[in-house]
Amino acid sequence: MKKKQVKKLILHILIILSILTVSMPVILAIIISTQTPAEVYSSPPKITPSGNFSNYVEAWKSVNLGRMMFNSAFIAFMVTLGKIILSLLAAFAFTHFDFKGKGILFFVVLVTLLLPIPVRIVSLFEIVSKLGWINTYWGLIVPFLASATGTFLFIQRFKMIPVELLDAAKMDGCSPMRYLLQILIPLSGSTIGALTVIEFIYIWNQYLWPLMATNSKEMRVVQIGVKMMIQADAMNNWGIIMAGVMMTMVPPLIVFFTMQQSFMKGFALASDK
Amino acid sequence: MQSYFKNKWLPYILLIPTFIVLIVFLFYPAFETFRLSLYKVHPFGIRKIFAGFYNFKKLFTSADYLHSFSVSFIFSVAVVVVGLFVALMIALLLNQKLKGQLIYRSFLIWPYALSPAIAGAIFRFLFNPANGYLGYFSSLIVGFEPPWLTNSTLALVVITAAATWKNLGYNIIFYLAGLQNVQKEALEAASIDGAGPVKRFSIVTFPLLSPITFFLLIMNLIYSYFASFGLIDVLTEGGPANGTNILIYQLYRDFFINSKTGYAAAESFILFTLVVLLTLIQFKTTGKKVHYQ
Amino acid sequence: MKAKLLMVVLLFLLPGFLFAVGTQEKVEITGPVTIEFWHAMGGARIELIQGIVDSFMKENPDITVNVQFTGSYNDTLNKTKAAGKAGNAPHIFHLYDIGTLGMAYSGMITPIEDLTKWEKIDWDAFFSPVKNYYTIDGKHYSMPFNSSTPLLYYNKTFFGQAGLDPAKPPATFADVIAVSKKLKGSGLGLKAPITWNLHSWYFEQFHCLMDAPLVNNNNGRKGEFPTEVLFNREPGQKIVEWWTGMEKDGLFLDVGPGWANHRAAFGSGEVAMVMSSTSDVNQLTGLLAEKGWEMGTGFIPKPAGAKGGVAIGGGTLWITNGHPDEELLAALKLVKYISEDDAQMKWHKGTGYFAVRKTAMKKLEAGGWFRENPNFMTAFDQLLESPYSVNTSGALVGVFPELRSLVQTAIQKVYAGDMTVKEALDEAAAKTNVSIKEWNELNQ
Repeated sequence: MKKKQVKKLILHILIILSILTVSMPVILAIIISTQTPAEVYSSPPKITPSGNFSNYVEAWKSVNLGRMMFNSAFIAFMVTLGKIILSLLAAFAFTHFDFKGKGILFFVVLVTLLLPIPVRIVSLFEIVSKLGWINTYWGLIVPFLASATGTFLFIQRFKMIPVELLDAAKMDGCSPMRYLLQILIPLSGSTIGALTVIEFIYIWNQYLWPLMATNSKEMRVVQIGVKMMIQADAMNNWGIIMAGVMMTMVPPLIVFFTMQQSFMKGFALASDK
Repeated sequence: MQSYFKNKWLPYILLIPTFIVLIVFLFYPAFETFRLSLYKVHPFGIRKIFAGFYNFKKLFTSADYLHSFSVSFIFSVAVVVVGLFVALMIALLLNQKLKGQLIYRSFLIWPYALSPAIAGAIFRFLFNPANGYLGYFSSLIVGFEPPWLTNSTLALVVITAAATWKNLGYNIIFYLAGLQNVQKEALEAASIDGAGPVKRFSIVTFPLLSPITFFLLIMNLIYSYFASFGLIDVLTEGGPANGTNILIYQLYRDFFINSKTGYAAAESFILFTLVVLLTLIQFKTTGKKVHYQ
Repeated sequence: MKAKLLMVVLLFLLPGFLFAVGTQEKVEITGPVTIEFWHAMGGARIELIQGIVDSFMKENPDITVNVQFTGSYNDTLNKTKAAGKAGNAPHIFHLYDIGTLGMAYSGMITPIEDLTKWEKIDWDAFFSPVKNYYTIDGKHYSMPFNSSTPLLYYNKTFFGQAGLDPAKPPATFADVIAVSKKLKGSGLGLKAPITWNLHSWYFEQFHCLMDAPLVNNNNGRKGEFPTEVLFNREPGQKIVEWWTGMEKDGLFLDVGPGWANHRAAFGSGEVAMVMSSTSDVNQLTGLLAEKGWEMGTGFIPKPAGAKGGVAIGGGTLWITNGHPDEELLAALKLVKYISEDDAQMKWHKGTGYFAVRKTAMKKLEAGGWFRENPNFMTAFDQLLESPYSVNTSGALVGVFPELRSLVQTAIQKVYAGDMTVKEALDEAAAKTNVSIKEWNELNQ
């Protein structure tokens, strides 16, 4: 009995130590984000927090963080929404219809897994330039709307739905689109949840493409803002930069924590097979 | 066993939006990129000269490009080995029956929401040669300040640490899901045989986790080859002395800074073959799909 | 959508009417004209530029200017390229000095001099080093805007505490070493006595100080493209030996590339001397004053007996092609306005960049500006004492950005002890030469 308690205590301590280690970089970043410039530029550095919260105001203003957060959130939301719709339609076509060329078309979707952005960036940039989409929301949203990942997740989900449901629906004369909207989508909640977290965070965190495809301060996204905060200050006032970084971390953390349950379920689902 | 709706045109209509995007923004640009890899291209695109495999030949005889290959390789192996080991240890801790386990879990997987750029910014502050905290801490321990970001070996250590940290949440989530699938009976059977916890892990749990480990291995490899671009750009910009100049960063430099479009296109093609290779290995061994995101 | 189609059609027609543009002898702005202006100056400088442009618009009510900060020089260049492909390049964009030759052969710009038949520009009013840098074969290509050279900044308070003369900054390579040794032994608790950021710019400037060419064919300045670099010769080796030798002896703090760490190290008292751009005078003075330290400035050090001078770096404003004549004229009027005395004096006072015209400097002097700000005087003196030669005009190389990163990598390889100075520079030279050859082939 006693031995078991000791073991539990050790486990608790180990977990808390891991949490501290994993959070340490952020804790240190928060400490410096509260310091005055004189404290930030001190030799040796000062490792205790101070009360200078104006860094957060400065950071917010220095690179127009509010606008960037809006851009990132808007783009992430639109891409997530668009991807879910397109993937649902495609997965529905692949699982509930028999048609000519299905095998080939499925293979074509599969092949896109081999073409992550860096592999085609040289010409993607040209095409988006020629469309006049550089520095527009179009250029940041449309190229990401089709997704093999989403299509596969939904195909997996749809395949697990008992075929009897479909037979019954057909007997009742239910149209395909109604079946999709009223039966399949409501049954795919956790897949949609998982995909929402994956895509939202993926797009929110994207760096290379928005770096190339935007140029005005109205169109910048938050990840580029992080680099701009570092570049904007002539002496890298880490107090201000870290304050800004901390603020940019908030939205994806909110999405992550609020959707954690369905996300974990969706993942367990995805790794079940 | 399989039942379908009968409709001749609907499936095609359903696929049209996906295929428009795929063709215009994936296949066509990929094809164009591969075509450009056979040309010498003027920095402003006003002229191009067909050059056959010139760009490839130059790349594979360039010490810098080969160096970039080996940096990518070392970096990705380090990220995989360190990252998966740490994630597995934490997942094992989180898989024990303990009070408050759900809260503990949230506090350990949150780095999933970190972006590469943010991880880069925080580590750049910590290890900065002027006013950096970690530089100061380490000087208290070893007596001098290690040149964390100005020595190429140490910089590689720093980017590995940052990348591992950023990836931790993702890896823990998958290991946790995997551990929950490991058959309880199998564990009990082994414990009846009198195997201790370590032995039980090594002969029962770990083999059962190998499909997940393999999946994570591929995902982490791809992450370190591609998604770590933001991390490198914020943290080291490929330096010092090209010490953290992974392939994707070299591509970016050749395309965007040196304006050598032909080279950049050839490098894209090389990266493409790498992805194909990794994906084939993945398919052959587990039959699982690779998700890039 | 229709507008987009039209744009595509226009794009195909573009080559045809390109040559028609800019040929008219006389152009006048008859109605409202709108032009785009993209620049690369961040932070507080964004508002400063906006202010200058606003007063321009007040004087020219027919012209509307959309000003946009588009990130670093490199970002700005790439964005301009992308916009050019979509057929809506900005009329004016801002680019670094080292992009000069590349732009001249880009097929997307209009040399300023081709437009001056519409409106005269008084080139004689400019400082000749500034003007010379952006002149190719006697033709003015872009409009000087923000110009700077490196300067040596030192902490007078620390100098005093170490028993050095606070009025005497080190002037030669050997002086720097001697002073650094004294500072290191003084118990001030410095990380190292001196630093500057890892940047090829200093390496280039030391070449100018030694009146040595960076590349062949008269530093690329006499009508022929350079075919090989010369920076791996004796002058280059001497510079890097000195630079990396100080690092080895613990006299120099390696803070890596970028433009922040060296300033921060100087500002927090981790070092006692720093080399940086003349445009840092305001910032660094303020930073040291906050700690109660006094700052001094000196010329950048050179090897004893070297007879060259500094080259002027910074950025210029380029006008793109493919726009109607009226818009080109409006663009010309704006860049001219920005280069004139009033705007330049405002710019100098706000940033520390040089005024690009002699006339502006005379006005500043007459107003007592330099008496109140002696550190700005150091920067001007350094520039005025520089003699003219093809070497002090700065090199013209098509692949300059790549040259820079190769030089910086070479220096880091010496730091790391992987290579000797000669090996590292030879390697960088060989690589640059390959790229130069490719560039020349594509630009013949």
